[in-house]
Amino acid sequence: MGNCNACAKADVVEDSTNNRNKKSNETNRGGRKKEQNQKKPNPFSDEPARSAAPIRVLKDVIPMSHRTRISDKYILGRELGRGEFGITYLCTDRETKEALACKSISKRKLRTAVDIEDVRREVAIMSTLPEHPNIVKLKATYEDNENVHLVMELCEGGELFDRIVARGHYSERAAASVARTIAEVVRMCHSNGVMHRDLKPENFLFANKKENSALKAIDFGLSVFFKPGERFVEIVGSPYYMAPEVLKRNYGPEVDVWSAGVILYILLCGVPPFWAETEQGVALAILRGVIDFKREPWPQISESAKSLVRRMLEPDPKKRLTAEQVLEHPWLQNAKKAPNVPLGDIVRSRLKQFSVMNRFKKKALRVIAEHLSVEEVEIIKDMFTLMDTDKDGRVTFEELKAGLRKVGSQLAEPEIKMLMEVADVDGNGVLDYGEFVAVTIHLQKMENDEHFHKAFKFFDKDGSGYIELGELEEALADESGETDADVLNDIMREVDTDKDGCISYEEFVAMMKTGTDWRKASRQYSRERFKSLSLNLMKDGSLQLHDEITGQAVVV
Amino acid sequence: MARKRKPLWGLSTKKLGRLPHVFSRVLQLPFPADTDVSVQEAPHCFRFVAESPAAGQVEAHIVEIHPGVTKVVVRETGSTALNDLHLDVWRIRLPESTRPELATAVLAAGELVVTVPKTQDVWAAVPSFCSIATNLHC
Repeated sequence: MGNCNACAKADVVEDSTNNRNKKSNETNRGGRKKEQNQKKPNPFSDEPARSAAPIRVLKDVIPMSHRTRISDKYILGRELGRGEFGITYLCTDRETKEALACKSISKRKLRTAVDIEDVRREVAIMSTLPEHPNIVKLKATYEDNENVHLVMELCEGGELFDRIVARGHYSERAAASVARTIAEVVRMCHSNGVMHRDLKPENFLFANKKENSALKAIDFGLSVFFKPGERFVEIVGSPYYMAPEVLKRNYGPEVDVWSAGVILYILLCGVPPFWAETEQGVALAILRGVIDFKREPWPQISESAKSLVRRMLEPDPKKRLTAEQVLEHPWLQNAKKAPNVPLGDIVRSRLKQFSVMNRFKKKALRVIAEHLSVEEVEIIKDMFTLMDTDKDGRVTFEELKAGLRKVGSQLAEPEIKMLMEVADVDGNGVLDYGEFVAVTIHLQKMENDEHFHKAFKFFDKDGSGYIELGELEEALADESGETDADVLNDIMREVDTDKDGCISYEEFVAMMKTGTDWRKASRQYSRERFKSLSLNLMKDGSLQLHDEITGQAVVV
Repeated sequence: MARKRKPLWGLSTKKLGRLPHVFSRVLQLPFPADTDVSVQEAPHCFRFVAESPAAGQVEAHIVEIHPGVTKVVVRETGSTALNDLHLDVWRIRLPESTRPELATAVLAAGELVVTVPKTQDVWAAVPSFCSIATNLHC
């Protein structure tokens, strides 16, 4: 057995860490030994002796002045941000009064040799990269017993991540501007033999709060030097942004272009291209490589933008664009010609159009509602009662939001707003019972032709088999008292696809199904599921529900 | 129907979020990120020791995210926090020399002790191979 231990001896690497929790403002350390205890561990002990001295992280990277401490030159102020390995503080130069940022990496977080090596390499890389307007500048480094401090230029405009979340998504012109900056960062890194390996919106900061602020790459903690043709096997990166060849353990600097492509996709539509609920699912989605260009707002985005995204998210690294080629792509070259309409406005415009057309549709849904069985009506009424918390016979936006939470809906607030706008036919800001019934039936995806026939007959007063303009006007007048001629013409234009001046039954059914995710479901099956849902709601208002009969809400 | 279920009135729930890094070997403990955990290296293993308020049993759950990407999630037995992707959780990247799939976790005297063997343990189980290696080192 002793011999077995001897076999393992060569692989023992002592990396003890300082587990003491001394306060960083403690002074008077003059008596402490600076040298690390080099005593080797007892090979027969399972508990190697801990080193008495704290680890030295930067000794081989930056020559350290023996007496220089960060507080000699800088005043550390309030906390600016917090990451996995460090906290970033506001930092002021004592002499020049310049405001800077200091990333302090606690040695308590540097638990293994790999962690230590990462910090050394980060400092070496940031020291090596030439000055560039889109890469945060490392001004100075310090090490004390508790921390490694990296003093960098200050970026006060927040993260790209936060701006994406706040906006939903970018216009093509604004997205192109950001994409050009990111591609330029990648090009500059690669031309200096640096692979970033962790490009994501969280790792880009705006210099200031202005809309057109410069964007800077930060955090080279996972970056690595590379030589042309060198292959890497270490799996490092972030979910959503990781290239497939990283998961296959055989990659080179092309992985950064993939990550930039993911960021570009997110800029243009707000969500990642490879998404799942779990890490396993994300990995599978990345390897599958299917890019969704059908969801909103992609149909409104130019072919040139989609072409660039596709070629950056090319699964074969040999065929993927290089950073240079990305910068030469027509969409970036002609960035100022890209549409500058915020895509949210396009969506809103289509929603308004849909809402106008939908007045007819909602009337039809109400007619269907009048033919529901008593049982079905009561279930919907119970849901309305559940949401109408102040019992005034109307559901406000807040009540709708709270009610949807109660039934476990995952709808986000902008989507609930959209639902409210679509459902609120008379535009008074609240849903009355009739409007609620109409939208609920709509969301139930009923596809029973019997309902369509009855609704169609309601509108086709003269039984001719067609809905004429006059009949449409008469039917919609019930709702708003008076129907704008333009609205009627818009509806007729939308629904009357064969342009014969009236709406056939087939056109009516097509309208009812347009923009929804209809799925086959038996009448009995739907009713039982919906009934079960409602009954459970009555018993336990906080029940989280995942019901087969539900599907997507309104699709604009 | 085998169709995937969706939340009531749910649109797509795809959202942009902040997620922890991916490494080939990760150990995750059921503590806040700033918890003081002692990291000890021994010849055959790494040991992670922390005071723990947990009263029940603990288990080391091995999650294979992808071939070559393994996460050890230590949690109280019965907990469902397997796919916890919060950032504020104690996590460490395990060295390449470890065998995360053989990790064990025990709770004793108010301390959680997680042991992750190194690859040498496999050699140690084969005495003849070990004796050959001894000769090579001499």
